[in-house]
Amino acid sequence: MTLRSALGPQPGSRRSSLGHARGLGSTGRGTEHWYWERLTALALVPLTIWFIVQLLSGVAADYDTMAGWLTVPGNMVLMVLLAFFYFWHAWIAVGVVIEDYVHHDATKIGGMIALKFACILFGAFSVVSIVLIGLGG
Amino acid sequence: MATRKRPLSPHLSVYKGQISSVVSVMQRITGGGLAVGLGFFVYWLGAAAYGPDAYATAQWFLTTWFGYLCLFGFSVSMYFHLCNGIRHLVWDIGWGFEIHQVTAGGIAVLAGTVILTAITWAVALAELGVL
Repeated sequence: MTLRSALGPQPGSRRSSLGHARGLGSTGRGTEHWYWERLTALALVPLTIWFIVQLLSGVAADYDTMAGWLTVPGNMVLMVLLAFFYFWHAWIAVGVVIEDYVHHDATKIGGMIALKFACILFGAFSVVSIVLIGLGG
Repeated sequence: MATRKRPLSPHLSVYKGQISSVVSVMQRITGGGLAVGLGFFVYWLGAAAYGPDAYATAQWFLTTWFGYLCLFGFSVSMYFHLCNGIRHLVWDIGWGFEIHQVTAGGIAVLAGTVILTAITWAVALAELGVL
């Protein structure tokens, strides 16, 4: 990114405002990171409310009830989506916290790698668990 | 490179807490709580996937006083982060930046957290036969 582009569109420039703004920011990736944090948050609002209502209606009361609940395709899909977006949101947001508060480079990079591997490992474990229970163990 | 102790500029601790800043900091803290809660979420799902015995163990653990304490913290964090997250999404579409709106929104988030947590636990404890 040149200083010239950081100063905004030049008089007479034929680039659109969006074309100009794309790719700005300290990482050169513009608003991508910010956007996906919001998108995952937006998905989690209805999913979280649905999940709490389900829990309060007693779906986790015992093993058979929960297993039966997850055999319903709609419930299985929404649980997979909840796990997926919950981990995706944590991937982004916990990463921001690490970047903000860990100042030692090796620890920071190690923490970011550990976070991403943990999200992939436990996210995959969650999704596989949900599907296995739904398909009858 | 030689480093020496230099004076630091005033940091967070010198400022008096305001509703806007306190709610903002709490968004991070409750987010951390939800990251811990993610561990409980995975444990609960994994226990069910491993079968009835593992699920019974998870249920035993989650209904000890420590389990209830964790679930309570999880629910408070969840409702706070959810309410304030919605407040953030509203800001993201450009609404509510006046000081009185920021203050009212912060109070609404705190009130919403208390009310939703209270309703949730009243229902849950009634179902469990505790209330």
